[in-house]
Amino acid sequence: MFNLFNMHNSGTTELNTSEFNTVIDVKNVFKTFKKLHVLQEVDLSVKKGEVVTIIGPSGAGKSTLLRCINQLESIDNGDICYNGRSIMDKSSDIDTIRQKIGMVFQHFNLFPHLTVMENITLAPINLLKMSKKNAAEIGMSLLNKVGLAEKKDAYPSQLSGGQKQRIAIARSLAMNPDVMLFDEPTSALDPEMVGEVLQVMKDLAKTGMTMIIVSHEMGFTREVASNVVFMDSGRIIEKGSPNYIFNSSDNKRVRSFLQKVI
Amino acid sequence: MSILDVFFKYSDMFWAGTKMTISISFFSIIGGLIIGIILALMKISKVRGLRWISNAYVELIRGTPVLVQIAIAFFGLPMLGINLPSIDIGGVSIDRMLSGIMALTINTSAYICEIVRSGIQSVERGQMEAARSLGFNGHSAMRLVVLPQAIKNILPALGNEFVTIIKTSSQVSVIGMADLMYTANTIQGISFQPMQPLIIVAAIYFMITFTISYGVRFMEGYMSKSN
Repeated sequence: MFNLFNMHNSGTTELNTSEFNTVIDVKNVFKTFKKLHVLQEVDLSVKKGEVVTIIGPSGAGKSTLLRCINQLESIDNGDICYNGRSIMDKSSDIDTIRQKIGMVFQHFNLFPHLTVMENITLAPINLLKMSKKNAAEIGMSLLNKVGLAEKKDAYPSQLSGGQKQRIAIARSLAMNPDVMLFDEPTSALDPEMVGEVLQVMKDLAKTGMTMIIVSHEMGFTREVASNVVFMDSGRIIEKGSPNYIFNSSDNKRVRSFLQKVI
Repeated sequence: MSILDVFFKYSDMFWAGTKMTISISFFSIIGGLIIGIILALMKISKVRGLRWISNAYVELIRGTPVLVQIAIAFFGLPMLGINLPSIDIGGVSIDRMLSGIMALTINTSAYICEIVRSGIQSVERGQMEAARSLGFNGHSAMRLVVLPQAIKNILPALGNEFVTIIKTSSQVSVIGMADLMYTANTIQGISFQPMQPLIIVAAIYFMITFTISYGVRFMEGYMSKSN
């Protein structure tokens, strides 16, 4: 079970292909805040098309791990690779890499001074040098996908939480990322809004998008995740298929956590 | 002589003074905004040296009287061998004007720096993070995402500072710039009317500052369409 994420002990030919397929590779990462160890010996590799959910008690370092992957937080030790190249490397341009790693935040972080459409097209127009017309077309098709086409000229303040989060997802997708990071995307939502956001994420998973999700939504995890990672006190305690984590794992901390949340 | 008589008799002089007051204020505000924003960015920079320079500048300028600053710019700099270029625009030499504008710019930039810094820090950290995570570098994220929101937040304070600079500009009359205040003094002398010219320039100052306040309020309304 522990080998699910660790492809390095397979044969040579397989090793090459699997290395090629690995989009995000977190290797032996350590991070401390002052004297607190927030991440210790964290290894996580995510292959193309996988949906990995990170679960665990609060303060376990789940969000920190996610934020380290696109360098919103720095790490003290270890390495993080994107498509086989270290993002820690001096020659790697983190701004270019971030274009390919979408991020969705707990508090949406939409740009309040811009309309929905402007939120979505800001990055494609300014970073990909896309024409306004082109970007708007892509924006429109994304808005259709998240079911909010009629809100294109609205400002974020006029949207509900669930709508904001769907727009935030569309904004990230507009850069056509290889992988999407979700940092507790439904935690700040009213309960009746959670479903619509999870639905968008399910649809996204079906398209084969590689996703890493920090979430407390166990039902969603069970249904959508290809792999589940359980973290506690800065360490990855257990990883495996949803079926394994939810039903078979006999790890005490996993069991006691699941008992509390389900 | 009634106040209206004074006004109409010397209306050309009042008009010239008004133009002078408006132009020094205008250029000082533009210069102050540019320098103030640069100072604010220095103040929040990661480079300790830049922060130090900005802090020292702001403390020094805010801690000294503007009258002293104007005098230093006009009398002090030439003594140090620094002569501002004497440029003629439309037959009017503007070297006096340059030192006046320079002093006011330096003065207002320190205040604008503090206003802009508080505005930038009033924008949630998540905004910067969201922009960075889309792939914007720090500068573009600042320019496209943080500053527009910061400016919206600080508009009332900025408007206040513009009004202040217009009123402060009356002090450049001490270096012989023919602004409104200087005009009032001159007309007092030639008309032997001590009160009327002052009332008239007070009214003109008020009309200018009121227009600015009103304009800023209009801008606020316009920018709050996203609220």
